[in-house]
Amino acid sequence: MISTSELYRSYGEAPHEIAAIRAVSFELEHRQQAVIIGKSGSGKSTLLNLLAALDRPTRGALTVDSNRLDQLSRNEMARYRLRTVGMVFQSFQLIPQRTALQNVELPLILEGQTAAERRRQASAMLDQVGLQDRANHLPYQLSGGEQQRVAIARALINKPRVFLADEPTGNLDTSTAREVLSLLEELFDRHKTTVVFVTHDQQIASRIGNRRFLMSDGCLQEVGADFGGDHARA
Amino acid sequence: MRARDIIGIAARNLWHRRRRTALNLIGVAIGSGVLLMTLSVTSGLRSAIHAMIDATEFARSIYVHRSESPMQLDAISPKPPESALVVEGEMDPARRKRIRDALADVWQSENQQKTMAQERKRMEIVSKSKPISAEDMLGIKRIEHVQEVVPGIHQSCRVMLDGAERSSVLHAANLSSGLLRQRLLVGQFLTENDRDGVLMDEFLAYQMGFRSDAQLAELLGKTIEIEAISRADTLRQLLESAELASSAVDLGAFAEYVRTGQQLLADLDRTTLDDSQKRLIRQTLSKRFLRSGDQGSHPNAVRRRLTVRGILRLGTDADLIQMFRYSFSEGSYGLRVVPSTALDLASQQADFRGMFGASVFVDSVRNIDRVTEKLEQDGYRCASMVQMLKHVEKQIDQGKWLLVSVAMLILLVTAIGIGIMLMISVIERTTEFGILKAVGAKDQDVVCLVLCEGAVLGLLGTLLAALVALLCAWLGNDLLLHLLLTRFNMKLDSNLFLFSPTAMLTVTLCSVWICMSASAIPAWRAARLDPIVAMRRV
Repeated sequence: MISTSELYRSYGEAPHEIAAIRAVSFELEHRQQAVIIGKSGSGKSTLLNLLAALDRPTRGALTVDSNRLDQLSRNEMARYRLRTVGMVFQSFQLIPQRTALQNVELPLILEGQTAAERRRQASAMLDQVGLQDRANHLPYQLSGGEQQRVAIARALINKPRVFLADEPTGNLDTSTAREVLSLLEELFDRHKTTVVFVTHDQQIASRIGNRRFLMSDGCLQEVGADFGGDHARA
Repeated sequence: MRARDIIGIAARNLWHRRRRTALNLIGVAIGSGVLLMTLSVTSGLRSAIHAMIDATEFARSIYVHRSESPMQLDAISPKPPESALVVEGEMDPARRKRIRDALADVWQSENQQKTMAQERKRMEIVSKSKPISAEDMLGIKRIEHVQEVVPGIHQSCRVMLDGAERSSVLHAANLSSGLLRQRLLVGQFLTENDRDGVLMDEFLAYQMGFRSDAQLAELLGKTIEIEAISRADTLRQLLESAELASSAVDLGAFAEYVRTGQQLLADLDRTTLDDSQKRLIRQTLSKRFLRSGDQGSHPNAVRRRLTVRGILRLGTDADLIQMFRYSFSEGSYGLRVVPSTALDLASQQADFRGMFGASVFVDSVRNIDRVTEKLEQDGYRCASMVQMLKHVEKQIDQGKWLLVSVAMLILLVTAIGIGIMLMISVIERTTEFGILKAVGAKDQDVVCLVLCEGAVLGLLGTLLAALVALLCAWLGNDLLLHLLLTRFNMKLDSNLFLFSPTAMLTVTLCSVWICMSASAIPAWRAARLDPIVAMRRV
């Protein structure tokens, strides 16, 4: 499903080149849920951006659902983002002038679906995340947890084969984060998608996923349930 | 993305920044409005002038002559005093106004300050120009599409009836003219074989003493005597007399000089001069200062008796067509006889060399150019309504392009404003575009969204302009027609603002295209945004 080989991503020109991702190679089967843990600046988000086709690798091969992301054109990358992946971000990334329902509808608009069909699907998705009664609220009228639920609904509306989550609970308090995690776990089970979940919180990471990875200085290594013990905490 | 969704999103974004949108809309509306009004008013004016001219036979006429230079002389006409404009007799108010205007014309022609140099120039033009003979007229009539040729005879004459005597001009009438026929106040129109009939204008009748409306009918059937005078001889005498007085004097001063001389002769018996002195003065001055009537008949005069068949209304309250008609030398005042009678009278003059010009009537307006070309090949100089119309249209077009340039300039400035506004908008909405791209929007989706905002601005601005223009046209049409009638004596019945679908479509497309062009740079910038960088701006 997801396969990377000697993946590099660096910024700047030599000799001031900074490597964010170094020789990352891993494989993930369909419906597997991977959690990547690491400190800030370790390269987790960069890897996720590469998996989401928001960025291109400097070198190396990256294949997701038989798409060679390192070889796609700009339009093909956009189509991939629309149809293959759904992504949630730490800062929710909702459009402030649009209601919860309209934010959820966005991918369907880009797909060219009719207004009625969009409305039906978006309402159903909001219902799944428990926000049916907040459909017509603007983002600023929603709590952080509610905003993240809207973002999750938007990420899942096109039934993506890959779900990417970049510290989705990073801006939430503990109890709200717990609620969101519970929702995500439920939705992962229901939608049976491949998941890559990035967090720096080991406690949260321990609740999700069947494969665990540790990201450190741009290098990725698969670890056990304790995330490599002291190394992860370092 | 579906077009409907793109338009919806663009409209929602514009609504979200409604103040800025409103300001830009005003700019687009002003530019489009000026453009639309310019196109509609020029189209309306052109259509009105065409309708006005096409409605008469006059549009089918060509005035031909062989003069090398124009006959127009600039004369300064002072304003007549009220005492010279008193109209006597019971008559219709409209006729009273026409007579009053005619009195003003007569007073001005007597008092206009034409210089001797100007009059000499006129004499030179007349004497140097090659005349049109009766044979020439037959030749012109043989040209394909020519229906009728009316000789340009405008014979100075004296009119005598029941002891009254007046100076006037005798014209060859165009018997097929609907316009002339429309001017018949009382009596009947001339027929082709009526060589002894004459039509008299109502002012001449007034001057001859037939003043009230009732008296006009009494004039019908009366026989008048006319005495044709060679204009060249009269002018030559006038010039010689004037040059004797002073080479620098103008005609106004010369007229005063003549009047003073005449007064001196009339009052001579009341002076203390003895008989021999009085005889000497009479012998010296009478040749110079007594009017031809006082002296008896002019040596070159040709006399003829004619019967009044009808009275013609003056053209002083005429519309633009009759103004043009006047410019074609048919005039409003004087007597009208059938062309053969006019030619007969003119040809009996000792110095008659032929006509200065003639009016050629063509079967259709469409053939005017063809006949004009043939006449010019034959050495005639031509003037027709079609040529005048082309000139008027050229003037209208020049005015139109000036206004169109102003409108385009306004639209261009507005477009720059729109471009700046959309650029600011793109910068403000960087995150939004980043999110759109992150969830799968293609570059062209983003380009379409921004271009569509420009297009919506152009479209709404044009719609607003169209509404305002229609309102202005509705309110302004009657006002402009009234102004044209009162200021320019131009009576138009058609609508002055013509909003053709083509003009509407052209303005809309032009406005939308300019606004979309202004959106191109912001659209390109939005499309090239890196979604990761854009989303970090939260």
